[in-house]
Amino acid sequence: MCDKDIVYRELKSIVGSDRVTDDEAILATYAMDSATPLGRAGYPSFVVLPMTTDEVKGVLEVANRYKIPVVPMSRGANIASMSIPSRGGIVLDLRLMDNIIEINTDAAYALIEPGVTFHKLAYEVRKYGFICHLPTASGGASPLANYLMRPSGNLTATWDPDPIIALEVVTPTGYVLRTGSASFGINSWRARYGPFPDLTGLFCCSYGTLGVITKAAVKIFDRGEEERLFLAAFDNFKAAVEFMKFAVRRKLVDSVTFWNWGWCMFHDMILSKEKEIPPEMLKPDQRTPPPGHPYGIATARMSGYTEVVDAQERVCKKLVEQLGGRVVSAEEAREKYPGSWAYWNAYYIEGVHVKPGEESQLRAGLHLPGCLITAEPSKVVEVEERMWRIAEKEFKPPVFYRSLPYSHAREFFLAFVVYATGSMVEEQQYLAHLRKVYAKLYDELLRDYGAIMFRFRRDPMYVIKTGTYAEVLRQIKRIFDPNNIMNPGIMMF
Amino acid sequence: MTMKLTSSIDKDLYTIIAHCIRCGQCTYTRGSKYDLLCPMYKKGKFFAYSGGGIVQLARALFEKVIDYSPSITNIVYRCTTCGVCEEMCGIITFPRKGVSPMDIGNLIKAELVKRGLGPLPPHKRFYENIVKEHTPYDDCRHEERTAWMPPEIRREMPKKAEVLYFVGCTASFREQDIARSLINILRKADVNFTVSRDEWCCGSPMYRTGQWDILRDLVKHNVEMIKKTGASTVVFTCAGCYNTLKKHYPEWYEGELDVEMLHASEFVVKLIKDGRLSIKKPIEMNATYHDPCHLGRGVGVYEPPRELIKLISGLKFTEMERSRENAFCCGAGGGVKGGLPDYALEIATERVKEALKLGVDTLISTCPFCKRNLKDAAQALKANIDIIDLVEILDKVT
Repeated sequence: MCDKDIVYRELKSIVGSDRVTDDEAILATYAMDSATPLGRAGYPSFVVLPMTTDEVKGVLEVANRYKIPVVPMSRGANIASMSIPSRGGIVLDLRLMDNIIEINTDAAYALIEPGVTFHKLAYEVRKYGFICHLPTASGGASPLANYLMRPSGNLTATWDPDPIIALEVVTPTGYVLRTGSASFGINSWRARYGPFPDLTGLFCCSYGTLGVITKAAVKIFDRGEEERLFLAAFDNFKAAVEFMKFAVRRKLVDSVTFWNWGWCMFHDMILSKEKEIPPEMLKPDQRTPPPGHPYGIATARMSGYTEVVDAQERVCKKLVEQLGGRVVSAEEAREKYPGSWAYWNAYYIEGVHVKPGEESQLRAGLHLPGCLITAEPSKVVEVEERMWRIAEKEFKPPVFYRSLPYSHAREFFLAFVVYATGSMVEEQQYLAHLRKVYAKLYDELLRDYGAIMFRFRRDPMYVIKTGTYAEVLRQIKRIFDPNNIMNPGIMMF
Repeated sequence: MTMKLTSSIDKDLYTIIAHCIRCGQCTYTRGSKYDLLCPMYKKGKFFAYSGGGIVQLARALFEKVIDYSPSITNIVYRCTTCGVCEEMCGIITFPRKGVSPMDIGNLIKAELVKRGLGPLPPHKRFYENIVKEHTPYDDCRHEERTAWMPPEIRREMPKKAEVLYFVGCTASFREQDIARSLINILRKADVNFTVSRDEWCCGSPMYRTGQWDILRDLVKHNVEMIKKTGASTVVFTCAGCYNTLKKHYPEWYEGELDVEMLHASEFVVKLIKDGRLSIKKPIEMNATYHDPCHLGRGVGVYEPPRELIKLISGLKFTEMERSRENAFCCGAGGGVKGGLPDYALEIATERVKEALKLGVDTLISTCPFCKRNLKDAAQALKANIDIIDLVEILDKVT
C-alpha cells in the first residue's frame, strides 16, 4: 500500500498537473462502459493522460514501484469492459497520443499511436489511395487497440487477416521494446518477422496485460483501379460457407461476410431511424426468415484492375448458382435493405464507416453479450445449428448473426448476438443468465466442435484449458510484469 | 430534443444513458474528416469533459457511484451547449427517446442548482436580474428594452401586427445595431410588424445554467405577450431565443401556441422570394460565415443565411472548413460567456483564427451573442476583421 498523495505528486511530476487527476467526478467517467453490470463500476484512483512514450514509461515505473494496477485505455470505446479498472489503480488514458506518425505508401504501412481513431486513419490513408482494415468496432475506436485484439471483420480478411506488423511496447519493468524490423533501430516498420522469434504476436490478444503499446505499424492496402460490392443470397448457412470458402480460396474476393436476415434487417432499422424494432425481428422463430427474405446475404468486396474484377464477378455468379444461391442486384438490395446497402457500400467500397452519427457499428455495442467463436469451415456450420437450438431455449428475440472466413478460409468467425442493453435490473438478470449460458456454451463448443472463443472474456478457467501454454504464458508475464499490475481485471493470469 | 422541466435522472433516462459506449463520437465531425469539435473536450482533455463524459457522469450519479459535488459543477458548466454531441451521437439518441448528452448536461445543472451546488456565481446574478428587470444583463432596465429604437418609430409601433419581432436581450441591450437593422429591413419590405415593450428574457440562459424554476413564468409571460400582439409570425435575430422558443417552448408551455416562428434569415429569404424586398446595392466585402450553434445544429437552419449572402453582389464568400453541422462553437453559449469569460474567449479566438486563415475581412454571423463573443476575440487578437450580423449587411444592401 502507498500514500495516494505521494503517488499523485510523482505522477504530476511526469505529466504535469493538467494531465493527471484524482477528481472523483472525472474518475467516475472511467468507471463503467456499456458492458459493466449495474452497480459494478471499477473506480480508478487516478487517470493519467500521457502524450509520449517517455511519459508512459515514467507512469509505469511509478505504478510498478508502488504495485498499483494500471489499465491502459486507447479510446475507451471497448464494449466488453476490457479497459475498466475493476481493481482500481491508474487508468492510462492514451487518447492524447493520437498521431499518425507515418504513412508509408512505399512499404504499405502506417505507423500510428494508440489514440488514433478509425475515422482519422481511414481518412488519412484514403488521401494516398489506400484503405485500412475496418472492423465492426466504431469509427471512434482505436485501430491500434482493435487490431491487437484481432478485428472481427475487415476488408482483406480473406488473404491478409492480421493488420499488425510491428510494435513499440513499454513494460512495467522499464523496457521500451520495438518488435519486427523496428527492433534493429532502423526507421522501417515494414516487417513483422526477422531472423528471431516473433515478439509482435506476443502482445496481440494480451489485452494490456503485458505492457502498454505506444506505437504500432499497421498494414494499409492499395485500393485498386476498381472496387466492387458483390451480393449473393442463400437459403442456408452451409451453402453460404461453401461459397465463402471457394470465393476466398480461388481468389475471387478480398473479403466476404455472411449476414443472416436478422442482421440485414438490423442495419435497416438503425440506419433508417425507424421508431421501433420491426415485428419480424421479435417473432419467436428467429431462425426462419420472414416471407420474401432470403436466409441471409453474403457480401463481398472485390478490387483490382477492372478486367480482373469483371472476371471475378462472373465467376462468383457461376459459383453462387452452382451452390443454389442467387445474385442480389444493387436495385434489390437498395429496395429491400436500404440501411444495409448504405452500410455495405460505405464499409466495403469507401473504406469508411457509415455516417458516424448513425453508423450501425457503434450500435453493435448494444449487443450484449455475443457469442463469438472461430471454427473450421465444416464445423462452423454445425456450430450455427447448435446456436439456433440454444437460442430457441435461452435467448430472447431479436437474435442474429454474421460469419466470415479468415486466412484462406482455414477458419470461420461466427458472432451470434442478442439485442440487449443491460441497462436495468430485469435486463441485468437476462444478461447474467446469458453469461452463464455462454460460459457453458464456450466449453461445449470447444469440446464438440473445436470452436475457440474469439476474444478472451475474462474466464480464468478458459486459460487453464490450454495447459502448458498457460504455464509458459505465466512465466512470460512474470518477466514483463512481475508485480501483475497490468490490467489485472482481465483475469488472464 | 428537449427536456421536460420535471425531468430527473430516473430509471427511464438511465435505460437510455446506459447505452453509451464511450466511443467519443459526440466530440467530433460528421463525415470522413476527423476533427474535434466539442469545445469543452478540446480544452478539458479528460473524457469527463465531453458529451459522453457527461452521460457517464449521469450514469454514475444514478448508480450512486458518486454524489453531486463541486467537481461535477466544474465539469458541466464548461459545456457551451453547442449541440455537437446531439448532432453526432448515434447511441443514446438512438432509442429515439428524445435526449442527447447536451440535454443530460442541462439536467445535471438543474440538479446541481437544486442542491445549492450551482450555478456559477455570475449566473446567479442573471437570475436576479431576470426577476427584477426580465433580462440577465447587468445594469439594464426593463423600461429601456426598446430604447434602441428611433423614437419616431417607437411612437408609431402598433400593439397588434401580423409579424412580431422578438428582439431578445442581447440585441435589445448590447448589440442594438442588429435590432435597428432588422426593423429597417421590415419597413423597407412594408411588413406589418410590431416589437413588444413587454418582451422578457426567453429563458435560454436559465435553461442552460440549470435555473429551471423561473422558466415556467418566463415562458408563460412571453407566450401571452405573443398572443396579445395577434401575430401569426414571430421573427428572431437571436439564434438562442429562436432555438428556445421554437424547440423548447412547445414542450414547456402547457397551452397552445399556434404561430409560425422564423429566423430573420428565413424571413428575409421569404420577403425576397415574394418580391417584397430586393438587394439593390453591391457591397465590397470578402467574408465567411459562422453558423451559430443554436441556429444550425439547434434547429437546422443552414441554407437561408448562405442564400442571402450569395445574393449580394460584390460580396466574395468563402466557406470555413468547419461549417454547417460541423461548425465550431463561438464559445458564448451555455452561460459560459458569463460564467467563464476567459474560457469563452479562448474558444472564440480559435474560431476567429479559423476565419482569419481564409484571408477574409469580415466574419458574418446570425446571432448577436455569437457576434459579441467573436468580436471580443477579434479585439483580443487585435485582428483586422469585422464581425457583423447578416441583417446589418442586408440593411445596407436593400
